Amino acid sequence: MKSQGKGEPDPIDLIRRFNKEHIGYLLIGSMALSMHDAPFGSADWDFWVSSEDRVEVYDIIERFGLQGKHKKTENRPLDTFTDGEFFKVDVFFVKAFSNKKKGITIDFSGAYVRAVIKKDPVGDFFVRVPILEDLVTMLKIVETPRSQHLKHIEYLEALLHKKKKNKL
Amino acid sequence: MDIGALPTRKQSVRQNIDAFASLSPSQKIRVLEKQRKILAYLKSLKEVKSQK
Repeated sequence: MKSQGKGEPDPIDLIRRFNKEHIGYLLIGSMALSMHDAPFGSADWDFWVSSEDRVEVYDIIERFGLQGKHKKTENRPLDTFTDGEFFKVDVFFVKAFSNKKKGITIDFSGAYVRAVIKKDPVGDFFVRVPILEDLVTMLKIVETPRSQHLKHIEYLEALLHKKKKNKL
Repeated sequence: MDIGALPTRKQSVRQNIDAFASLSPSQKIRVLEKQRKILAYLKSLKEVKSQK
């Protein structure tokens, strides 16, 4: 896929740079769900990145032309980067997402191992995406989900059920 | 980290809505069209292997 407009950041190019620099990342959130046939639109790009790759990711994003309020010396769990317009990237550097009240935890290393690689059949582009089950777990971890959020979980569980049934 | 304790996540969504609302009609169309093309591309990717 070619860049779509001179001067505009292309998220595909950003992922390509993560791949080139061997960043341990996962594309999560609505974009990842869309790739699992869950039609939840969002303009956000959410990445879950190995905390070991924090500095490299800051450098890549800086070279990419996005800006954020991050500091290399701070171990912030989430940093947001933007081009000042509508392109926004949220990067989570946590080792695990958890909700103690609900007793749910998902750690990066496990999600990374379970993840699938989706590749361009005619090019070299690829992206790492958690399995659908892990994306659903991430949604369930949210402490106070909105009604829309709950509908998403209900839809995804039905989708998971359908996929499992089709495999049988 | 407890993701429920992340106030910045909510702010992030709010900022996103505000940013889109501030665009002109032609910019909104351009942004949505770009988003649609990228999503179509991502959905065209094939699962090549699991890392299991």
